[in-house]
Amino acid sequence: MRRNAQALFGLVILLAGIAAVVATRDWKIQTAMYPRVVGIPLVILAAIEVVLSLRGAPEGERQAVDTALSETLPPDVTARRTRVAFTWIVGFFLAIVLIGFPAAIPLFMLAYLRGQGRESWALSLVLAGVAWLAFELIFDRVLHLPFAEGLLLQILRR
Amino acid sequence: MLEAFVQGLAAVLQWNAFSFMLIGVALGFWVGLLPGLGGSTTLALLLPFIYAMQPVQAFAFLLGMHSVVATTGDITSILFGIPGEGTTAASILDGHEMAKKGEAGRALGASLTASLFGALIGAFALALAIPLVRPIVLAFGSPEFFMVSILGIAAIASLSGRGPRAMLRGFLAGCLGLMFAAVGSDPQAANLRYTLGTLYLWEGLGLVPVLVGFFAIPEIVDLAVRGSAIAGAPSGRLSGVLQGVKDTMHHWWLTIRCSLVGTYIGILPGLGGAVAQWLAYAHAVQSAKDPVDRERFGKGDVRGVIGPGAANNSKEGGDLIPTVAFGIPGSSSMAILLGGFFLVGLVPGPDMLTRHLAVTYSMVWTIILANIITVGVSFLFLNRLAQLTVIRGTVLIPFLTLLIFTGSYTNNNALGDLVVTLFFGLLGYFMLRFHWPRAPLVLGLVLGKVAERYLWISTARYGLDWLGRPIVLVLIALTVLVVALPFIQEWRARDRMRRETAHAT
Repeated sequence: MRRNAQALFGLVILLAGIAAVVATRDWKIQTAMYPRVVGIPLVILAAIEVVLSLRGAPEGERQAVDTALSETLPPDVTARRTRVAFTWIVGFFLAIVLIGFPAAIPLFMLAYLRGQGRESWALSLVLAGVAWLAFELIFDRVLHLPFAEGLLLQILRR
Repeated sequence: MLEAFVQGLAAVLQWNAFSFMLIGVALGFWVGLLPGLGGSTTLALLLPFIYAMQPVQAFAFLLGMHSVVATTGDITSILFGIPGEGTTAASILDGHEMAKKGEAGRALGASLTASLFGALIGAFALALAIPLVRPIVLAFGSPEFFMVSILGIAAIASLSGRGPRAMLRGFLAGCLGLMFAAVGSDPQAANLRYTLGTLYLWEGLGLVPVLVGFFAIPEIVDLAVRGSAIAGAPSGRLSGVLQGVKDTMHHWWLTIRCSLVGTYIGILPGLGGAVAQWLAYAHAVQSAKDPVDRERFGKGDVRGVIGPGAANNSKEGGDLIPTVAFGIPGSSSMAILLGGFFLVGLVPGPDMLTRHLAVTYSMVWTIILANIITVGVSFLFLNRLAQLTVIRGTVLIPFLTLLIFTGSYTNNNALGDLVVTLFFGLLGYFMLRFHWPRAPLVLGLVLGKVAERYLWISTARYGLDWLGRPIVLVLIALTVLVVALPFIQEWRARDRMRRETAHAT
């Protein structure tokens, strides 16, 4: 199962690499030279990686010089919690797109703290308020950064 | 010269210059802590405030802010696994692992001490090197700069793990990073590449949204999966801080070497702090005694904190050398600072080494004093800062997610920043899941634009003859050595083990 997932990840990189190299075929040499110089080794290395993954070649030492994800929980629990975590992150992103930062921040904070964290109403409300206030003070009042209006608000305005 | 050195100190210690420096330091402290909000952006925001200032006051204000962002950026990287600055991402690899193990205090102690030493070494390099560095910088042309880029990627890719498979993935990740650098308009003819028909990608991928997503989203997901605080076990008060300080003292030679790496990368135009930290990390990994010792990196080895900590602060002094001496900014921050020179009526170049030498030395003193103050203040608040790692994950996660999205959005103030952050968050997660090293990808992305420009100029100017230039040949030999070294170490370790087994039987 893991071997297939690894091979699939390598395959996605391989296909992306091939697409990137193929895209250069009509480009002028100034534009195409660099992506070709980099893209061709990328495709070759990715192909080797896919073949090695499919053959189940030993990885040698499993860990790369990098941090490692926790592997102490049962795989099904890890998979479910990972899906939930990504759903919240994507959900926050969609909320920002739809209703804009100023409204999405307290909404997301409250929803996560109550819905996922099972924190008390009082703590959730206070922390959501603190997050919104910090955002308003730092990014809006002090730095005057232009935050995009939500898509829904734009539609309603028309 | 000594007189100017003392005059520089006296000028910074005058109450108005010192006050401006303190304001700059306070700003830099928070800018470093907040992910995404970069030192160069803040430098640009501060420029309008220096119109009415004297040169020493202006540089005390600007450099006071800019020279400390990497110091406090390391704190965010270590505690939360979110790069406080683009230049502090390498500290995550071992620093955040130490925080997870309840050794946040030790990691912070080591990082802050290394940062201080790095800043001091960088500042003294600035003081000493100005008359000496000119021939070194001028000896490097486009072919040499291209080879330095290749050497950097080869170093980090070859040290990405143990064995040929890990090295394969290291080089694959490096190529992937170089490929991502091709997104946007090409530097030669300004033709668009891989922009997916969007205006947002015309200028390429922003480093901040990439780094924030790439490192922070996998950490947040992992924190959610574990369902605990960042530190698995409460560490109580930070007894490890002193140990971290001692670690840096113990690895003093590594600290000096990584500081010099940072200073030199700072001197070279176009490379900058984002490269310096990774090369210093690669150097720290390379300094491991044997493959088993190297295995400790990425799992909470204090040397992986000391190396980048020292380099990302020492590069500040190095960065200033070409800016002050030749008016050639080594990085985007220095290009903004160059604007500051003109705003206060100074012209970088020979005048800064003769008529305005005291102003130049006041910059050296600003870097030294600002870092001493920041490290001192950070040590005072370390206990409180590290207590954040024992807060329940469910409370911390929404705040961290908020920081990720606001931080990445500040890059271009566009929703595209958030999409890039999400994409690289997912990519970073899968790379971690399947044990692909992330550092080569980041270095490839950072160096890609530079490498492409220098490769094109070298080929257009010299054809293939540039491959025969003496310094290029030395750099090629170094690249081959860097790639071969892990195999040689592996072979020697196996040979030693075989001999020990034979001796035992």
